[in-house]
Amino acid sequence: MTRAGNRLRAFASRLCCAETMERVVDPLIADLQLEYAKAVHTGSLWRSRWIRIAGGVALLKVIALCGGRSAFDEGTADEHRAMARTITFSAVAMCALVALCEAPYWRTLQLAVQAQQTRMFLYLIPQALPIAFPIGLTIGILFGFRGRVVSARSKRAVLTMAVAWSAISFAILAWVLPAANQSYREWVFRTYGQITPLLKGTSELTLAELSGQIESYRHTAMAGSSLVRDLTFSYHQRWSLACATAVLALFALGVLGRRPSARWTLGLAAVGGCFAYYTLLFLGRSAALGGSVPAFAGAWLPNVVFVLVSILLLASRQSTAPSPA
Amino acid sequence: MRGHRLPTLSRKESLILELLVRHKELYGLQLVAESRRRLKRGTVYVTLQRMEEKGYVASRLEDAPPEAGGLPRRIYQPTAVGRRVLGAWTSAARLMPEFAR
Repeated sequence: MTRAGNRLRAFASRLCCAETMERVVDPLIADLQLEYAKAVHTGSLWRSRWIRIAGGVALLKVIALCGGRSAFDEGTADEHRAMARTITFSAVAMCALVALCEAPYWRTLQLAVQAQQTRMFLYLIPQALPIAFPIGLTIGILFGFRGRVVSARSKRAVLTMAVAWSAISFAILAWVLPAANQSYREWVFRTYGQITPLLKGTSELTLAELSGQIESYRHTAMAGSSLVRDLTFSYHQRWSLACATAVLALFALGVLGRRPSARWTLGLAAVGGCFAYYTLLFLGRSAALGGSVPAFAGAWLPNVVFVLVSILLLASRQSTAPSPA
Repeated sequence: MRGHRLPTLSRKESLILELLVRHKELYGLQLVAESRRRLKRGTVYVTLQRMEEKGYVASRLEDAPPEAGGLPRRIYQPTAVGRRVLGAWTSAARLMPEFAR
């Protein structure tokens, strides 16, 4: 059996520079090994397992921090400009998409303002964010790096940023969105004189509540019903949609060519890519709810397809790259 | 004054320096334990690296105990610059409490 932390160290050495390994990763692994050895020596099996898990989580955090820091601190002026453009374009696109998603509720918002309940506006924002993040970042990456060769450092920085957005997206989908949806529904029903509290629908259940409901139906006659399929699909979709930001960012990096591209080509790639992603999600949903495919397969279909396409695009770029003179 | 930047000290850096001044030298995990969860093991090593670059702390390697084995541990101690910066920031914080926040 390998010493605790050796595999983590080997993994980190693929991603971090020598200085980061010496100054950050090795001290972390050394402390982890000592703590682990002490736990094993005292016979604390569960503590030793916990130390390995905590060490792994800490190392991932270190890699993310160092990756982001090296990308943002050590990049060239052109890389900094491209990142700044990406962040600006992404922010503008995300705000525009949130506004677009709120548009159908304009009348309700007017009512809320009249009733001096402006915070209702906040309840509607979370539903737009998991859509705005992936599309906004895809547009931001494609236009931020337009006409530039994307260096490995920039790719790492973009992917770090995308993973961070995915993590935020997950928190929104798992906890914030269900709570906001429920508050919004209760407000609407109260406005029309209905009795609250309301029973929660699938979209108003948190991840833990969804999981609990699925489990409660597992060994009953309802196990294969459309209700359980809907709950199961919704559960997997929360995870899958949270990953959409990272997956579409990878796709955008794959699309960015070595030659400058016209705005309309990139615009088409951004719109086409996002449209294809959500079409696949819709198809996956229909197939899963119809019972043709398992719920997790339907929910993860767009991510799997887009990761494969992105890998193919990135591999083709590498194979067509001119060899150094 | 162009080209001369005032030394800065974040709250985490200040806590690390306080602990190092109090205990003379500590390794990363001891800092996490001594801080009563105010420092996290995922960020303490990155902060220590940054502090070493700023010249606030110095480090040396110490072999792991033979019965435990593994990589040598890195032990950190405050430098004279670190002590002075901590002293200056502590005085400033005492004079202007809102500055400390």
